[in-house]
Amino acid sequence: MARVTAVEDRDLVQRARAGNRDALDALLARHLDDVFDLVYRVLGNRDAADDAVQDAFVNAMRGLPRFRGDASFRTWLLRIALNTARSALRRRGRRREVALATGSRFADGAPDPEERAVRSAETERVQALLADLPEKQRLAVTLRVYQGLSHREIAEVTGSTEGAVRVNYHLGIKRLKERMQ
Amino acid sequence: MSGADHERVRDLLPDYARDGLGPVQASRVAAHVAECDECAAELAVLGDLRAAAVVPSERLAARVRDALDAARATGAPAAVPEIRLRTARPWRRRLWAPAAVLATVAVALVVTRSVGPGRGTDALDSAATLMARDSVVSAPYGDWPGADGTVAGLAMLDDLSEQQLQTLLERMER
Repeated sequence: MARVTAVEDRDLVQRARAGNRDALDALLARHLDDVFDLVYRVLGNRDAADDAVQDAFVNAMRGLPRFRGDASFRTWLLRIALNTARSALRRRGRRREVALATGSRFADGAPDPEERAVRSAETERVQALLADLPEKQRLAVTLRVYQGLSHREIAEVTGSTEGAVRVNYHLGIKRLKERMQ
Repeated sequence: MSGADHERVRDLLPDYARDGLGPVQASRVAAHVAECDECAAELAVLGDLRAAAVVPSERLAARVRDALDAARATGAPAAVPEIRLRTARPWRRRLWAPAAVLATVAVALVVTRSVGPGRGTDALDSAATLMARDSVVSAPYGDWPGADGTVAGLAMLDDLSEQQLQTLLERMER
């Protein structure tokens, strides 16, 4: 996953606002993985996540003229993605599916079929354990571990407080540790 | 290594696991993990989580690009959220010190009732510290937290039961 710097984002956002399509494409390329991962953790379904990712980027593009830069573009975009995913979840009547690996493409890239099967089983187990956490804990762990956000940035994305994020992360990791061992 | 250092290293483990630290901090974390079973176990969990990362399908980027082109053609603005960290407003900042004292007393009372005789003052102090810290904006993440012991880190939270943590959460999220 590519490292994202705020300075380069700022430059790309300015150019995208001015209608530069390459800049918009670059922002998409830089943030697609993070947005997908977050949305997938909320919805637990790959097809639903694809739809929500598309909606999130369209919403963000349309909202670019009003992006003031108070937060980083990345946290702003992830906030939009989270809101979009939550709306999709509400439309589906809160019927969240447990995120199993079946049919999914994971980032481990094991080439050997046998090793792939072993890894896949382990991956399924970890995915299911993570999916089983309450949403606030799941989001705190996801945004901290996969997106590398600080507690403060996670608070910005989730509309919570830094302290609450810290506690939710702690509870989530504690539960995962107990269940994984 | 002191308890405060343990706490700081533990806070940085997710960044270490994703290779997101500079060389100095990374070597400091590595040295601590080599001697600390608790951090080594947590790092193993973080490694398992990272191995189970999901990535989008190869066709998703093209699909989103097409959707962006279509949306640009119609040009309708969308409602987007304003991001504001839930922190004290300026007028509240002036009241922070007395409010922190009141909050400390309140949390101590709540936690005392739910703790019973088994838990000591450390848990109460940690809860109170956490509560007070939540009232102000702290330094950006990535700096080493202050060495004054006021950081409400993961190790402090270890001293609280799950029920106590939930009580804290409810109060913080009001």
